[in-house]
Amino acid sequence: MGLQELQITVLGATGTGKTTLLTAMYEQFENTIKDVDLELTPDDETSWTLQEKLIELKSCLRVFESKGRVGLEGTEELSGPGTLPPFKFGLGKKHKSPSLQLSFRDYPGDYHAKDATKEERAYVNTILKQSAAVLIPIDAPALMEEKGRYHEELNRPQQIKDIFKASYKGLDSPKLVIFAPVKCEKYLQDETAARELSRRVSEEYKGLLEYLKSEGLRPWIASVITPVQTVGGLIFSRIEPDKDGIPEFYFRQIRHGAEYNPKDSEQPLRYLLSFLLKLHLYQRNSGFFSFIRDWIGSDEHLKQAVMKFSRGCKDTDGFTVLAGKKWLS
Amino acid sequence: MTIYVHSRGKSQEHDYNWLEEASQISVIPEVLKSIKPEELINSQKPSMILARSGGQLILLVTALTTRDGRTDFMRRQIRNVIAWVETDTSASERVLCKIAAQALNGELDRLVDSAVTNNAESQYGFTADFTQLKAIENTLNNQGDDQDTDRQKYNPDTDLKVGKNSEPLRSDLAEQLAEYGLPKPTDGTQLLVVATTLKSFDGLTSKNVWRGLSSRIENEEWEVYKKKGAATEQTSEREQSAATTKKSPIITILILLIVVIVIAVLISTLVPQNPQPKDQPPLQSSSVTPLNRVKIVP
Repeated sequence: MGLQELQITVLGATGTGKTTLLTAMYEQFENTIKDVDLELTPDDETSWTLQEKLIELKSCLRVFESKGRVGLEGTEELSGPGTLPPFKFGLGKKHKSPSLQLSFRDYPGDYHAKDATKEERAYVNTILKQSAAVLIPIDAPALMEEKGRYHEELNRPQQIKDIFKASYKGLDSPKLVIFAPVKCEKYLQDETAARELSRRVSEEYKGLLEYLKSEGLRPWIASVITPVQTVGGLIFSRIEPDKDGIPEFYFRQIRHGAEYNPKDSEQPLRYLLSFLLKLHLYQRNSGFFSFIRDWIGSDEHLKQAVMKFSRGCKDTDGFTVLAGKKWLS
Repeated sequence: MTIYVHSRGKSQEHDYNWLEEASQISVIPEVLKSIKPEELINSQKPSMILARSGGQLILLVTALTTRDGRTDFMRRQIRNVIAWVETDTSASERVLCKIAAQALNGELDRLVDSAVTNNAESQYGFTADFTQLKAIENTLNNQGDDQDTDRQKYNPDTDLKVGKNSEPLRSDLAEQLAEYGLPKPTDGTQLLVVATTLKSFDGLTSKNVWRGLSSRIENEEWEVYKKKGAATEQTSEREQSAATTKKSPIITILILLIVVIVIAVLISTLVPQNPQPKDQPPLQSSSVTPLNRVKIVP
């Protein structure tokens, strides 16, 4: 029998940092999991692809000030929706064969843009339906600067809400929704700034949050805000329009020679495992839930490891549980 | 020959899209769906696929560089992808082999770049000058050599080989393609040339690629992984061992099955439906035979 798979969709408009977030998560997980008997092992091609992306991401720090590009090249699927293989990670105890597979679905952000085809839209709706968790990267400077003037244009919160509305109709199983502001180094300098970031996310995604709290969905949804400093050494500095009037975001190194040093990029995974830990208590006998129950419930050692790791979920300094605390251990 | 260009415009709305030559609208080349390029290459890195499928020949070249300043709204450098699709004939093979050779020698980037430009006014944010792109094949078509397109006269080495995606091997492959062409068509999809940054030795050879180059392969020389004529017969030691590993569960299951059958036969013989008369000889002979059979199973 193959590994049981848990699918996670990384949902966002083009350029918001879907692949960048995944790369930073992959890079930091190993460093933060040292003390726990857990291992997250990418499959061969996931590992190779993410290593290449990591090199690309680190290259953002080659110059003191960079315009716009503090992320990775845009994702493309040459032969249509769903053809890009997911990023696959095996999860299990250290030095043992993985017992669960986490599959992160990335896709070109224009699949829910105005001109998207029916097939592209349907694909995004399908993967969202199939996923137990959703990661929504949010371009933090667009959200925070100039009173969020560029937020609608870049992060497309309305489109995101529409996708949820199309996918979560008749929902009858628990889901974890993670809002992950990225490129947010500037907004986590102190507690007040961090709280403001969290407040702005709640404010600008109010429509989606209200929908997730609606009667039919409320019992099933856990939602959190986990800011991720995807590069660490770069901080937003200013916005200037280019010759065509298109705003360009400038980022500079925190200090000369600053290195790639992402922070809190393992937090979404901690929340994800915290969610899985709770799911294993969920008394439902459909395939996946009974598997989670067997997976965690039958191995006390694994359960303890997952519990220890998920205990590191932050809930201050911009990290907030918005809803569904009962689904998080 | 139908040309498709995959590129994008500057603004966020103008993400990557295919543009087809004739219709000037966004159409995914149908043949790509059977080739499944995403399983072979990381299209964000310079890669190439030359393949046959459904009676068509396709050449796909990805991550072609563009001029400085051709960036998207995040100031990310835009990449071009180009695909030529044509009915598989000797003539189209000769032309596509020559274009593939150009791509391997890094001569295609500039030619394609000069034909594709950002254009905020157009539906997809970029435009492609297909007349200019057509000129690439026309020039090569009329170029030099013998003009002889009879496939029978070319005799490429049909061993399946892989090697490092390095300049010397790319250049060697470019020469082979231009001079000897491709192996003869077979049924089904035929992956002829794959130049990639994604696949390991095992990953690439499992696809039965005629010539595979990968940045993940260390060997600076061509390595034959399947001998001439036989996609199915002679395999390299490396592959044989992989195949044995894969077959072993099947062999184990077969052995188990035989053992189970033998035991079942044994039981049914030892425990007859009707009690045997006491004076009959014991069932030793019939019980020994199957046990011996079990013993000789490897």
